[in-house]
Amino acid sequence: MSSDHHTPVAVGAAGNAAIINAPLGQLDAAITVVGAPIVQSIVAHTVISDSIATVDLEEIPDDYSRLRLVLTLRSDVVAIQDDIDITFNADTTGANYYTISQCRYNNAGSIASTFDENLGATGAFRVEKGAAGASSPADWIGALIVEILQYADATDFKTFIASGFVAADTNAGELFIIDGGGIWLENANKIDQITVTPVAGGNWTAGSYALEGII
Amino acid sequence: MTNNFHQPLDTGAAASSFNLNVPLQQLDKAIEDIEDEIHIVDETSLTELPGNVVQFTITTISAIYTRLRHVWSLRSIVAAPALEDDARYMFNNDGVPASYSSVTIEQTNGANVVDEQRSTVAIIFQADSMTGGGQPAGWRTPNIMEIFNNADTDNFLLVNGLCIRPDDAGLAIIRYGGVWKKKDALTEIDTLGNFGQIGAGSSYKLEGAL
Repeated sequence: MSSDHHTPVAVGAAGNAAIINAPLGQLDAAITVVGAPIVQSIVAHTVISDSIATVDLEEIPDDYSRLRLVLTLRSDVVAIQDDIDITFNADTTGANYYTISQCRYNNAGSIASTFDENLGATGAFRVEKGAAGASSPADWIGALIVEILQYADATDFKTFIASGFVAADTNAGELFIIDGGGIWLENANKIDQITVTPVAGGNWTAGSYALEGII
Repeated sequence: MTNNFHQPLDTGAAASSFNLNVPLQQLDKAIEDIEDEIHIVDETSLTELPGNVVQFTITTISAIYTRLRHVWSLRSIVAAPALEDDARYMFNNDGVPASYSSVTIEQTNGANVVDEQRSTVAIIFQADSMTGGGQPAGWRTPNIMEIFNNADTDNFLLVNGLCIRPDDAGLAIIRYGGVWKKKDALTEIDTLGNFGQIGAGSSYKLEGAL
């Protein structure tokens, strides 16, 4: 029998609660370590089957070390792409967000890019061209993962990093690589709400969303 | 010492009142919960290829996962002086070029390359994303590819990923994405090289998330 994770109780000493509690606590601590990498679903994969103005995730528990927001989105904007605004705790104060995002694509064999650099002006993390639009062919869509660090920390600012891909159209230069991230200057509250809104469009018309917690 | 998963015995209680089975069962339950989760996040164990292969295939992918992560470290046996090879993926043995579009952006310290495939090849094409035979022995390229909507029959499947290709003359950062224009649940992934087979010592693992 292995005893790698606890110190066995000496034979004959088992009548003392403190002596028994020591190895029980050691095993408990070992379970905590083993369970740490496990990802848990907070909001299960949800298909957007009807148009919705926002993806609104509320009452997020503070049990995790970070959050992973998983999105595939298409908006009703009359274009092949739309920007995505992500806000925390319904805060739309421009001065609270410093973010950057980049969209890269093929331009006649060279890499072209567009940026959104937000220096405390836009009240959201604006993801440059992170979603497909209504002018995209039927069912074409974009995917994005946003990792939100220290979201349950009520004393420090929150940082986040995003990575995605948008299949926007069939023409050359219309498959897009998306990267970005930034900081939300809020250090008095945990993140308990995330809202995802199309910038030019009025609704999300297709796609999916999920929220995962990393222990 | 943390006590997240069990209630310790009362040190003020008489030994005759101890019920050690209570904390033991609580700890057992915690282990069982973790085992369930581990089963969920591991679709395949880490697999190292013992010999060169034209392709490796991951089959019977369960639809219980809402997202997958294809993690690999690959080297092609394409002959030197080739420094790299292309990684390619086929889903559910779908050999129709119109089903796939993808783009790869490769950036090094001094050079940028973009490769775009639009319904031209029957694969997700990930240009220059494997180490080639012209690189030092044992060098491989690590990759993490997220797969979205794998079991979602309402939306297209999308991939988004990152590779870093080591090269003793200049490393490459490779970002890529692709779309499989079917709305079928993904059950099988074939991973292939382009100019050479995938070499022995390469490894892969597929993870799933709820």
